[in-house]
Amino acid sequence: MAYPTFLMGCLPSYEQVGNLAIVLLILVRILQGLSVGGQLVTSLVYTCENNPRSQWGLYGSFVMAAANFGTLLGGIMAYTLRARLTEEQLLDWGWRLPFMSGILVSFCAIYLKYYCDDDSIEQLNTANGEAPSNPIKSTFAKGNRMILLASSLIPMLWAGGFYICFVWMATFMDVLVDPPVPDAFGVNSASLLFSVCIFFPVAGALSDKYGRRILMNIGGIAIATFSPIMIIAISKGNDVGAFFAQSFLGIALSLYGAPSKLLAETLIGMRILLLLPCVITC
Amino acid sequence: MRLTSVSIGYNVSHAIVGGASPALATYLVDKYGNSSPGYMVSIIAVFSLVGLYLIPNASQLEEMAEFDATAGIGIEIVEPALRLESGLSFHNRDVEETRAEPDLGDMDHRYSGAAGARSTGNILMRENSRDSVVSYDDEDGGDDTSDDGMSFGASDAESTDSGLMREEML
Repeated sequence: MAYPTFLMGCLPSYEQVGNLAIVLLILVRILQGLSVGGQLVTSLVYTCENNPRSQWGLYGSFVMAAANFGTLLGGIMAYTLRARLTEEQLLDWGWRLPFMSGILVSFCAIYLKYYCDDDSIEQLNTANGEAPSNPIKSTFAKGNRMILLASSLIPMLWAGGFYICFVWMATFMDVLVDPPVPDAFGVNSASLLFSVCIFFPVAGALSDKYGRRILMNIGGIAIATFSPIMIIAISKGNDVGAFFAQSFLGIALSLYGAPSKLLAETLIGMRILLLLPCVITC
Repeated sequence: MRLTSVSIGYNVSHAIVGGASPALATYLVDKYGNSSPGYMVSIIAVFSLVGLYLIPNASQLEEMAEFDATAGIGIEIVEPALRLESGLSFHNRDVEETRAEPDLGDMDHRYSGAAGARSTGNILMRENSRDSVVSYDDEDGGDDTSDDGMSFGASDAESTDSGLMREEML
């Protein structure tokens, strides 16, 4: 993840090389996507493996909370650059800085590589008998379609909800709402920090205690019922009201999202299987 | 197989819903006013809740996990798959009668290295046997695959696994 992101900061601009810049950008983005796919799930598995099963909800949710915190850092970085640099500086070299700072993550990777053992991957290699010949084909087999449908529907709420509530919402509060919410970016960051970073592990711990399905139901039903009201509240143009409404949505999303990653893991049955594609995509 | 399902499902829904929702939300605000993205999120939530009801519930997953863990696999695994195929519920009375009682006594809440290694082999074997069994008739398939499964043996470590799986909260 560190290297594709750094490379993105080194890409030539469209003025310099024309269409080649677009091709390179797409290639680097694909590399980035592959890395995230491998690393996010591997981190989840690694974290869970090194902790008692009765606390997987808590420890697993730290992984996602950290990813959300990354979104927050990215937002702060963008805000700072926009505030400090002129439009010309930003277009000239400013946009490269956040991408190049991605290289910092590689220090964590080096630490993990040299100071943490990865027995599980060795075990996987030694015990790797005959893998299913064509997993893609059996995935779309008739008997498996219900699981496939369920696994497509379940992540939808987190995917759509998070983007709407914390990525798109800043623009909504700033540009689309009339009058705009004062300091929309600050409100967005504060509720992002409060609800999907700090509250997220709490939701994970609750799912250890009360069950993942119950928590996901509460979160899902709360969003289904209250999201129109909350978005109307946000659109009133009051920053305190917007903060509380957005945080409410974030807490409901956390209740749904924190257990959902582990529910997928349960559906797979055993964590070790998750390692297969991770090893491939890394 | 379930891994591939989850992985494909996850990525497809992230790509479609995650990618399209901000653009759609902006469009809805322009067209129908400020509250409309809220209804969109509600609809997405309803879809996800439907998905949540489609997956087998905790006790059924436990049953499946117990079969995996005790290596007495084969016909028992096929049955739920067939039920799914016919669009009926995942639940199966026969499965419940034949399931083994897990050893809850000596679990340690952690996977030791040895248990991890065994369960790896076990899982891979399970995936194989399930795929191969689906094409058989019930009686024939049962013999074949329980042989396959037994070659790994049902050891103490594995029954510990089954205890752990049973403990999984859902």
